[in-house]
Amino acid sequence: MTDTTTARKPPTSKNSEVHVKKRRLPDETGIFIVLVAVLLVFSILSPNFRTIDNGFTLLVNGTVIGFLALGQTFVLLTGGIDLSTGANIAMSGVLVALVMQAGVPWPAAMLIALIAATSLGVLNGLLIHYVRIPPFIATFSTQGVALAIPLIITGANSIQVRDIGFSWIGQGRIAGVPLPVLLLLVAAVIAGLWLRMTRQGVHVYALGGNKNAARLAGVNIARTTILVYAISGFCGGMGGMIVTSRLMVGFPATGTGNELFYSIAAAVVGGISLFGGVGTVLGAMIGAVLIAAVSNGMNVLSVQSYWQSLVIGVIILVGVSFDTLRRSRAGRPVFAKRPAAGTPSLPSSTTPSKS
Amino acid sequence: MTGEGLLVDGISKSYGPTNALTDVSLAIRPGRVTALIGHNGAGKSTLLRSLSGAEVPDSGSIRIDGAAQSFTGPRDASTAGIACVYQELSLVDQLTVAQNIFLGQEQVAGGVLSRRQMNRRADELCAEYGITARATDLISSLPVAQRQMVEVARAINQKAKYILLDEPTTALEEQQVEHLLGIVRRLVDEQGIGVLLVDHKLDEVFAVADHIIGLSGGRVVLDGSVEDVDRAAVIEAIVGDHGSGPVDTAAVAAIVGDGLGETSLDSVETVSEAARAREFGAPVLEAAGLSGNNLHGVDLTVHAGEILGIYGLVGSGRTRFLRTVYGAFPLAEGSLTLLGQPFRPKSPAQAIKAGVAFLSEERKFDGFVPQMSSIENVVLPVLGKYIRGGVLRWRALKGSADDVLSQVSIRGQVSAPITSLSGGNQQKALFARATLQAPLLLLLDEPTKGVDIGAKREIYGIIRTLAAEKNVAVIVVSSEEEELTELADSIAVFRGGACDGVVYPRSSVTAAQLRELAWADASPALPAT
Repeated sequence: MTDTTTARKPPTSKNSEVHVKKRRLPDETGIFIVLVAVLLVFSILSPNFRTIDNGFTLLVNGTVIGFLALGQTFVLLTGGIDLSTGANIAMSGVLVALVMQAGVPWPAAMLIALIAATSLGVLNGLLIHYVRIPPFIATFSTQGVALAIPLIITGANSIQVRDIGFSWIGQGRIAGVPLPVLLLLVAAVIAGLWLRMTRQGVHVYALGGNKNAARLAGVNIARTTILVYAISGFCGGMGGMIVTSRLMVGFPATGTGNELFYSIAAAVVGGISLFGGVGTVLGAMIGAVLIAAVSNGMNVLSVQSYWQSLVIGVIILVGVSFDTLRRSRAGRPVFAKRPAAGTPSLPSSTTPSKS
Repeated sequence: MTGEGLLVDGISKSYGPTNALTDVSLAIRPGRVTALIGHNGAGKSTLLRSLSGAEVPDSGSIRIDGAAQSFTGPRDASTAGIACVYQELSLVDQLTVAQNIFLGQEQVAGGVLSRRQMNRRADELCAEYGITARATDLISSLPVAQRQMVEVARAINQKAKYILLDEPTTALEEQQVEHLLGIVRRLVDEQGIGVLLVDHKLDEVFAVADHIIGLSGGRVVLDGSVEDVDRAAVIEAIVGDHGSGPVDTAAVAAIVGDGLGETSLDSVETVSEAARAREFGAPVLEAAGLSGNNLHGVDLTVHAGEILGIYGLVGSGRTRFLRTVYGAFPLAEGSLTLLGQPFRPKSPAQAIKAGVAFLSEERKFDGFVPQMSSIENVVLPVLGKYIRGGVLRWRALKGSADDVLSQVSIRGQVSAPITSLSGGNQQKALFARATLQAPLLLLLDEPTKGVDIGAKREIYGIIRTLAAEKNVAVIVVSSEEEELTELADSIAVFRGGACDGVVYPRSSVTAAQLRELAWADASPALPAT
């Protein structure tokens, strides 16, 4: 093992650079190849699928899942789960419509709705950290609450939005690119950089990797936990804004469908470990596009919609199995990423941890 | 060896290079209480686990009433009539007393549980053994002492012929101890059960045992009837340095007449606070009357550049003290000062900010983040010092990490997950982390646990460098006496959650004396002082 008798030259940074040169494929390669394959198959099967218009439709439809998956990424990285994001779509989507109905201009209405959505996330974080309710139960409960509130307020009636300006959020375009797609892109880039380049971002990984060690290393567990759920709440709120803006109706029954399910699927197939501490925003976003493509492709091919859940369920199973196998294969990363010099990254571990 | 009883003949067990048990032979006779005593790491736990089937010895044999046994699991041992009551009880909190007593051996009539019958039997057992709980009470509603008794009742109900009790009295109040020992006596006298009692407290041992077996360094060093040995002999046997082979009890009894126990501690010198302040720098940490969280008054001072060793039995409060200073446990009573300023850390983050670094005993549990590389683990506590405009300066971070990691001579890839390193190198990486924190005070909990001998030397070197060159005040907790006598400048001893602040210079105290000091409280009737 170690050797004290010979004075060996200690490894220096040069040493690690040598090893960086044989850099392996990034974590996201696998899922990216799957995405390309899926796109190819659908393009071959259907001429309608491979149009630019359908491309945008696919992406726009994918933005809501994308936002939820983005928020879910933060939560999953800490080893938690947020089941309330789908319900948050309904709550914030109806709330923004109601506030506008009351005569508030749309930007202010949006701000209010987003604050409410974030507050739901903060509530999740508080329940999980201070009351020590397991994340699954805490967010499962707040999901129920968040789903019921808009139904109770509106009596299950949809709320029309008359402020035309608001339609820009979900339907506008900049340089031909749909605004929701741009919004998600910007949010994803910021989130990705934040996770890598800020102290708090690294703390998210540390908390998910080993909560006890993170605490002893000075990580503020309370703040980090509350923050990730708040971010997830905010992302749910963005989903609500986009849905309401596209329909120009605050629809109290949205978010009860597959959004939550798909968002977790997107994050997990994108390489975010359900056990915490491993994964990237890029992976989750590729996962979201993959889920959107599967969903859109099956629509274009006129496959009965019942099949979508089945296919996506299978995708989740494959993704999670892959993750679990990766963890149990000690010392042998499957798609482990080696950090380049000066670039931080969080290599996937292969050792099961007591989390 | 033949005859009645649970006979252990020459069993050995080693973990890698460590010999936990070496050629251990002993007998647990029915109708007798056999006490097993020994120091930290003497092999008591390994012996218990071997007897209860949780561990398979490398060699040697176990026989019960003449029949050879080979246990491959705890189930085999319990089938053979051996029940082991560990300190961590194996009851299901959410089930009732009766359900626990009958767990795995439920009485069934026609496919349906005979609940009433089981409850009646459980109530009988409770009444018989002074358990005040009823059969239908949930285990979670019982105090610890009662839970322990339920576990004993379960063993009796399962017709155990030999019951192994692992330090059953540590969590008990005095009255409860008496009660428990009374029951142990009754089990033996009335039911003819053979009991093996692992106990730290000599008073209890002498009150209840018929026979005493001492273990030290994985060997039997004392094996005698309670009439033949006295306290001094017991202490001498388990704390002394032995070659091999059991002590001749008759010979020990003869020696005790010369007051062997008394003289051994007489040569121990202490060193005054003033002398330490002269030799080292100013006091860095001063603890006075630290209590709460199972600490019962800790007075201790450590100076800049000093390596202060803390010795004590497992559970004597050493780790709790370190974690309290580090802000991981709340400080209830007493005062801490850091460089003369009052210090009350509410979290590890605050302690880190104040200049305290800590290395945990359990690296895997709360030492490092396994998914992260060594570099990332090293920089985790100091990220705040490398921020410009809210953004982490990764290049500078990585440079600093490479620096400290090369200082400790890591062998392995520092940019790969830290779990790819060997135990010794993981620990060195955590030392690199502490170095990077540039602490005033470094708290080390068993710093060489689970590392090989080469890495151990290197770690000693790192600790000495930090103290000598960086003037860091270091507190080292260790269960290895030799580690402290070699590494520490001064040594303090913890007993039962307390420390009297008396400090022994390493030059004057031997390993055996340290062990004796740690036992002083556990055996109040230590040779007349």
